[in-house]
Amino acid sequence: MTRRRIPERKQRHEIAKYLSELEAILYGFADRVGAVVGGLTQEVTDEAVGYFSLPSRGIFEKLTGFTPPTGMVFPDGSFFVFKETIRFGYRTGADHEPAISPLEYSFQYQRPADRFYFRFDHHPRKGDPATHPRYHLHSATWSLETGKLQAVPRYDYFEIDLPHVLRLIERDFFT
Amino acid sequence: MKKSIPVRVHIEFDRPPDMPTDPVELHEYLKTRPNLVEQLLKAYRKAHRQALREAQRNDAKKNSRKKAATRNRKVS
Repeated sequence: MTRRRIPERKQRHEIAKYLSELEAILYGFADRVGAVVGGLTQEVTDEAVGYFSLPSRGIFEKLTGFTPPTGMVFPDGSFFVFKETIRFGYRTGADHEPAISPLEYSFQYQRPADRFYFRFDHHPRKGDPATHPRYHLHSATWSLETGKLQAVPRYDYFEIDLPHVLRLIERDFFT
Repeated sequence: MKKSIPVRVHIEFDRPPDMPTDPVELHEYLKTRPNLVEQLLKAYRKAHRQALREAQRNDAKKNSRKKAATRNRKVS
């Protein structure tokens, strides 16, 4: 079966639609659990790549255990930040229908009071595949002296999306 | 550029009775309801803009009070 080519306009439209859905879910979630939100950013490029982040894409390089609460801040002082890059197309050679798929993501939830964080990562262009599973989860603490987040263990994990991470946070920390 | 301050974004919204609250179920629900997504976003973005404006105003007031206090200390 030959697959049809997807015009870039259609790709951009599907990405924008998906990002709108996520934005509505995110605001609704924050409203429900009483969190504050700052710096939500989204962009669909001419090349039909979608970026969605809270608060900014660059923040992940700078995050430490001492980072003041930012992004989505919960009433107990814990906070959630993320970045996601997506595209719309055929995920594999076997797919008949195009769909939204992540090119990379990081979803991080941090609890300063408990000196604990977890982060779901998918960054296929970073790190050695032997030590960086394609989809992985960090769940660890940080150094008391430097605040540096422990990078290991990296648990092998499956693909996850924003709504599932929000569900996990609500279920485990806010119910 | 004004700094982005995390703000509480609250809206009063008549939810359709069958609209789920769980984020995963809600995502499935919204996929087939683009008009509802648009309504929600419009309301949330407006609420966010208003809350942010107020937070920035309060922040500016706080900063000017701080500056004034520092100035007064220097004078005395």
